[in-house]
This record gives sequence, C-alpha cells and structure tokens, in this order.
Amino acid sequence: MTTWLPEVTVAEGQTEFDAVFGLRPDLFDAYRDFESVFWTHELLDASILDACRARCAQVLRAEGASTDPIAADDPTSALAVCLVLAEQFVMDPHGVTAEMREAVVAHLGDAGLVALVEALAVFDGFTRFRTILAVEPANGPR
Amino acid sequence: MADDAIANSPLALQPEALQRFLVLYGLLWSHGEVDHTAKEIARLRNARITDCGY
Repeated sequence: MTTWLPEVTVAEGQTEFDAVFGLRPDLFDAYRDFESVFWTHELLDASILDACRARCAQVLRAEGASTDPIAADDPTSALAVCLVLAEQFVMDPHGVTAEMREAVVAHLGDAGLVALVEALAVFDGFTRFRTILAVEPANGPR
Repeated sequence: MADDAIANSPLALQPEALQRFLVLYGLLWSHGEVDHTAKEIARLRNARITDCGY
C-alpha cells in the first residue's frame, strides 16, 4: 500500500507516515511529542503499549497488521486486562464495562487507566488515519 | 487553565501527557487549512455519530 496523496515524497530515512503527516509540519511535531510521551515517560509498560497498538491494528483490519494472535499468557495479568479494554475501545467504547475499567485500575491505578485510554485514542485514531490515507505501516516515532 | 474542561478532567492524572495533548489540540484548532466552522461541524458530527455525551 502506498498513499494516493500526490504531493508526498518519502525522503531517505523517512517513513511514509512521516512524509504524509509532514505535510502539516507544526501538527506533526506536536503529535510526535505527544505520542512519544507514553514511552519516554514510561506512562505504561512498553510491552503493554506495543501489544495494544498491534491489537488495535488487528481489530481495525489495518494494512500490515500482525496475523499472529495477540494475547497474554496469564488472563489475569495487566497485559490481558489492557487488551480486553483495548479491543472494546476500538469496537465500541460504550461497551467498556465497569469490570473492564476496574480490572485495569487494580493493576495500574487510576492514572494508569487514563494513560491507557489516551494511548488507545492515539492508536485507534492514527490507525484510521493510515487506513484512510493509505499510509504504509510504521512502528511509531520512537 | 483553571476553567479548562480538558485540563480539569481525569486527563490531569497524567500531566506530562496532558501538557503535550493541549499543545497538539490547540494547534489543531488555531492553525491549518480547514476553516474553524468546518472543524466545529466535524467535531459535533463526530460526537453525534459516536453518541458522545460530552
């Protein structure tokens, strides 16, 4: 998949996502600053962030999404409960139950739940961004 | 920021993320090719489609 946007030229060392979003450089800089904070400030464990991003891509049937199952070995683990909430977030956020929220809070606290939902908003929104603009998959700006 | 509904929301539990989000969101509304009216209509339409009560 390559974007249909006619003005996009991908420079060496750039991803197509960089080139497309770079059409709005001020927004892209602010986006990268926001998106990267989840990893640079360790708002959540990187393995949870990576797994939830990959699961969002699967649920949204994004180009390049992994075909391997994304699941936690222990169904009571932090990763497992985050993945449950991530799936529901993408499919229908009104279906996120108190049990789903409380399971995440039990592992990560209220601030962890907020970080997860913010990260999911980024993953969900920018997976849709890539799909609509036919932007090749990238693993984020980290 | 004291009266800012976003800044006073649960997002404040993650201040580093909130600070950066507000920069991004502010740019989205204050700059760009899409005029403000169209952005506001899109925002309202999105809220209606997703049945967002906020």
